Amino acid sequence: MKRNKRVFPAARAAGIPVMLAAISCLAHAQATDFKVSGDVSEAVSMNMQDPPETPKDDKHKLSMARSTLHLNLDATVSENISFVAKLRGVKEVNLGYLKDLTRLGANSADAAGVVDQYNRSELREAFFDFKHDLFQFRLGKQQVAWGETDFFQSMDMVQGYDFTWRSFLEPDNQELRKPLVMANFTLQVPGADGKMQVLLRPGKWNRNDSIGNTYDVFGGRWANQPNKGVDFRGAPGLPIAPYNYRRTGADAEDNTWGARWSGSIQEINYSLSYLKTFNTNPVISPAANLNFLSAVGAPVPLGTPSGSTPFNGTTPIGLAGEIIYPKIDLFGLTASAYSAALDTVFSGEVSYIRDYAYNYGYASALSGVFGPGFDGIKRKNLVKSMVRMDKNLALAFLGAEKPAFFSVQLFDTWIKDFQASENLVQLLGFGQASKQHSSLATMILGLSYANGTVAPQLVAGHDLTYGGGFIVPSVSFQHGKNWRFKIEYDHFYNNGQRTASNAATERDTALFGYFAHNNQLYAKLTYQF
Amino acid sequence: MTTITARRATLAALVGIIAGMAVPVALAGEVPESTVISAANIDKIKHDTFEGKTIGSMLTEKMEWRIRNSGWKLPLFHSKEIVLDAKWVKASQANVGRAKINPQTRQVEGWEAGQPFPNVEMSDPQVAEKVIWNWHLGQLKGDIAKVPVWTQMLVDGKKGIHAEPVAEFTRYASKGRLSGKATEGDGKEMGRQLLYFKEPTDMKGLGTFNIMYNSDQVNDAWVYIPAVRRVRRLSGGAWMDPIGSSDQLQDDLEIFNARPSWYQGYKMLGKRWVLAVANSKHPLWNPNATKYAERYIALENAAPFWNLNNDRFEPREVYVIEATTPNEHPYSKKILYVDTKYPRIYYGEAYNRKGEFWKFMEFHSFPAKAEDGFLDVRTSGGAIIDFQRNHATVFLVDTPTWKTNPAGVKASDVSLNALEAAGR
Repeated sequence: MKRNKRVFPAARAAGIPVMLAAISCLAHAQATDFKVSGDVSEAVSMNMQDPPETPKDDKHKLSMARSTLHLNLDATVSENISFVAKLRGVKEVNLGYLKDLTRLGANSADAAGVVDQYNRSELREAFFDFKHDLFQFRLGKQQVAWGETDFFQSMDMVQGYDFTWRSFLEPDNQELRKPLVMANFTLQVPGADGKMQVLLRPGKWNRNDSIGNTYDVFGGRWANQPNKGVDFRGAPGLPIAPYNYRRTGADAEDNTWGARWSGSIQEINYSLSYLKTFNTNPVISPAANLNFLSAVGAPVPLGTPSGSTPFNGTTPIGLAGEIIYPKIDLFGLTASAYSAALDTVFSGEVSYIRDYAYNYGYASALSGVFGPGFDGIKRKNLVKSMVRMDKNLALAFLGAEKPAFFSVQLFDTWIKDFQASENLVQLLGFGQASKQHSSLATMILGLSYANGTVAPQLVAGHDLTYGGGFIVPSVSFQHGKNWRFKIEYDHFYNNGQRTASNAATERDTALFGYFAHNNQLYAKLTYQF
Repeated sequence: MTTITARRATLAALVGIIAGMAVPVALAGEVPESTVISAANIDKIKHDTFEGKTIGSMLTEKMEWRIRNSGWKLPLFHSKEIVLDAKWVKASQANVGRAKINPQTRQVEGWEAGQPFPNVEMSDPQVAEKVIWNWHLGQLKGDIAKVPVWTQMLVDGKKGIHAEPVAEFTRYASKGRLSGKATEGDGKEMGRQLLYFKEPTDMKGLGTFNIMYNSDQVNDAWVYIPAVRRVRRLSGGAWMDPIGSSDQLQDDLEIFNARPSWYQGYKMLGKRWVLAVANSKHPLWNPNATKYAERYIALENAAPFWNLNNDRFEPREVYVIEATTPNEHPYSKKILYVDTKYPRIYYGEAYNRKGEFWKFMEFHSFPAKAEDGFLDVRTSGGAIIDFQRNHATVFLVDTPTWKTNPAGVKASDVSLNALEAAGR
């Protein structure tokens, strides 16, 4: 079973460069200014712990060897018309570790090696810009980032993220966002010191899997521990919990839209926005029966109730359920300002999300088999907030050439009309029940040496409610005009983790428990042109 | 015989005296145009003259040190008058008797456009501060300067150029305008600046937008970060921080880029002559050329690789001003060399907190005619040299693409929206 419109056939992949070349020729022929740029990179990551799911000791085995080509075309046709196209070609080595995951069952729904999940070349962006006086219109496949924060999306929900090839850790989130074909209108209003932006996303102009966040549910290297080698979607002829992008109320082909006013008052930048979009995290609409047990040969009569409640009384397309992204409404407010007295920039955002979807429950038979959350879906209104402080710190003892960049962020999620007895789970299959408020803190410390050619950075975060966190030290190097190199260590710690034996009973595996046994050493070499 | 011998001795003595006198007379000859001052000949021609002034008298201590120790060469050219724009002169004269520095606020009041203090006197106790305000408010830069292609090269003194990012900037004056009304808006805003990089790939779209105020208030600043596709507010105190990974502070843009009142004070050290570039060759950089000599027209391809040796150095009379920085500033002071005829800074010396010489700054400029006929002064290139780290940042402009006062550019074109749009 293939994910809907997800895999590029070879012919289609081969067609991208041809299409790009045609666009390039057309643009070049008309352009007054035409630029081609890009880079070639090789990124490798190594397991620094042994994932318990695999029979071998996979500590110090490579988990990724990823070659990437970025090719960017930028053509200015006239002062008011320009065109941009961005291609990303990817080819990964089918490492021994990936083969082992495949043998365990990773990507079984596609009946292919798990490496196929990573080898996805695509035309990431292709849009025209039209400008006239105070009006700008961008049409085509593009990325739009709203909100203030780059971590833990609160308002950056115009697009979903693809966390399958590198979960959580990629700082360049333009590489993770799933660009959308949109019409993007902007009108500047100088008299009010602001601008109005309207986005329209025609559902049928976009791939169905472009909605929401995509996680590794196919058992690959970033599957939540202990699910490496487990493809929840099932296998050919045995659909356990496949994606269903066409479910009413969660239909990717529905049109969505958003509007944002952003401006400045008394040197305070602010924005107000509304977005009709899809749940960022997928939820499962569980089957009302236990037919999947019959399908795998268990002596359970067809139609035996599972105790679970499917989404809106529908019948899932999978034997155990289906993965969906229900539609939500998001109302957002952001602000940022500089305090001269403290020499500090303060930023914040608050979003009110109506009808956010959670999975819940431990009681159903499906929750007993697959883990918590298979009882059904509950919709909740959320208030998500973030406050941030950015300050340049003169840490002379570190000998850096300029003040260190220091940023601290505090996040909070508040579930309105919260009832503990509802047992909303943080993530399907994991036991930690959601609390009314959950908070998380992160920090970044960035330094620069030798005219920026050596740039160490420390990123860390701690889950103040459920425990656990991450520490990511890295150093980036520049050599000459073309070469870049980065080395990074990704360390996770947690307050509880799921194992093969406690799946139905554990109640303390939250966000950083999903990353248990996933410590990584990562290095990336880039040649840019 | 004795008489003859005595006469011969006297004659010989006279010849010797005359010959002795003749030596300095011969050394003090006028050197021709195109003579290149270098380490090889500085001792020989230091006492010679050019336009009637001795070469040595037109070299500051640090200039002579650079020539002797760091490969700097100065081709001599005759000085040419910088023709000042009539509108600017008229606006400047209108400030006479009207503009003054408020001692409490340390701000200039009564200024409309042009330079606020066109008739500074050395005897004026505020002379140094007034010269700096003339630079800050009265530069001959036009209302809008659009520079689509320039580079901020990073140069290692041993290895040469190791980065050549290409950027665009637009400067927009909201106050002190010479076309139309002198002030746009409520007068609070001094101007705007939009800057973004076009190359290399990892910097493409990275840019900043600044709003400068006509008050003590620090700039409002934003950065667009393409990797996350987001605008982020920056610290207004960043005016004392380096620009990116360069050797240049925000405050070092064209040598002095602060609101004058942000500094503790200014001291006039005197007037003197220096050899400086006021009528630069242009362009000094051709981004489309691939051969070194054609691409880096003025830059010598020899260690320390930052010397703009192939330009026109001419005698210019300058004020020498010591500017005392605020306590948080990385420098303890700057010594500035400012033309006495119009607001232009040719050289700056920066000293660290221990009082040690740290950086040398030179900027080259040339007069030009704007799209609307305004006579402006443009930068062709410059260097900020960190002698403690043997590293420099060299600023070079593709001058043929520079446009001053192009028609149709509005404040809304130099905005946060424009910063985001550029980051595509």
